[in-house]
Amino acid sequence: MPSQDQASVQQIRAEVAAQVRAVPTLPAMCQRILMAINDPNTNFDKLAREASYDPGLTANVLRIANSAYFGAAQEIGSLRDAFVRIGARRLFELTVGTSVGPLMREALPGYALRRHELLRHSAWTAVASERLAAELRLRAPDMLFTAGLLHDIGKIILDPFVEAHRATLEAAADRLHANFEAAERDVLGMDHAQAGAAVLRQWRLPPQLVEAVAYHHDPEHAPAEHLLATNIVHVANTLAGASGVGSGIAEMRHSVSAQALAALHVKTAVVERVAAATLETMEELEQLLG
Amino acid sequence: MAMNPLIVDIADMKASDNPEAALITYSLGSCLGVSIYDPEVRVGGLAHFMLPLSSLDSEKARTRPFMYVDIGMVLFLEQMFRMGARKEHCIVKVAGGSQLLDTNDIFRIGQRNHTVLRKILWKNGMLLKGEEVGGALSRTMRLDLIDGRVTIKAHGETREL
Ligand SMILES: [Fe+2]
Repeated sequence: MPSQDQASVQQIRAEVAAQVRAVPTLPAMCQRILMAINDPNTNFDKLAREASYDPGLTANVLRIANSAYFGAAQEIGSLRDAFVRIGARRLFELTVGTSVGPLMREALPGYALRRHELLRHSAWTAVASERLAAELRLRAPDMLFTAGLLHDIGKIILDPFVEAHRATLEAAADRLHANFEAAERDVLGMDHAQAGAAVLRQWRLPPQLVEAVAYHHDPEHAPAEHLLATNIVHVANTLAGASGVGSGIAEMRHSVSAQALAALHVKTAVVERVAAATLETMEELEQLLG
Repeated sequence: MAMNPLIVDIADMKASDNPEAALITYSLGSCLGVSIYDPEVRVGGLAHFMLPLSSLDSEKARTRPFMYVDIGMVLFLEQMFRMGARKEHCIVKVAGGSQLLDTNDIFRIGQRNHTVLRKILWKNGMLLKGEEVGGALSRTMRLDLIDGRVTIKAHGETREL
């Protein structure tokens, strides 16, 4: 028996959909770079010129491009430079990161996340995803960093609803002997992964990002072509939660997919090395994105 | 409380001999928070260890020793003794070491951390005076140097350890 009656779940769903529509749009530059990735004949000079109309964004992107984590060997002085040196894909990831970071700074009282905690958890998961792929000697799936960074963006949407229905949610999780996402679906009619995927679709981000976010707690049902990225984000997120990085109320109530662990051949030493390596880069990255 | 508590970050340790001071560490998941307090000299410290064994990466063990329980705990004790604490007076308490909801062996970091801590204390002939370890929750741990009180906050509830 569900915890809420159907009428109230319908009502919450409509309110959530309205919240998704109210999310700020991404800077136009993100879509431009995305088009450039798919078009080999892109005129990067023109693109860099267009980007310079948004000097704040440009400055932020260059700052991240020159960070120790993303940095090229030589100083990157312009967007034109960045296209050439780190490539349009990486540039896209940096642009999304610097645009979305500020949205993830605020405290989320429903999830018991203090200010900066969601951002820290997200950046941690993004870095751990890349470290994990490297540690496992896998070719990193496309835009893996961004998939990790955005995996919990849906919490921003659901937070006020989680706050309002907190007791019901915790009771549902206990009653279902389940993770927090199952309680979200039961009480709110959707979980934060689905809400996040809705935001990414609205931003017209590519399917590998949408699917990795949508299935980050349920990788076993991810579409086959996005399974690898979803598995990696799932394990990296598990590790972030297990390490207490931005845990809040939901992340410790998390189940690990045995299938994902088996598919990736994850071992104890691997997760511990990834955890250690990820911590190293965090201070810098949090400042850059926040 | 006169002073803002000093925040101990993940993979770090802070010690003080100022009786007005308080030390606090947040978001202990599988990590271990360890407090040491000597009531005679009112010296205390709080550490936030992340992983059990420094043999994982000897380079990091040098640059960030408080990442690891084994080497971090040895340095922590040394620091306390340097500040005048005596082993036989030290009160050691621990919190954290959580597990995820389901207990996949690979992610039993909390349990491994706890095992290594007990081993090191045993080797040093020291006992744990208080512990709140395990469960699927994230904890905040605080040590007040005025009286050595250790408080744990989890799920919005605060209790003394
Ligand atoms: Fe999540």
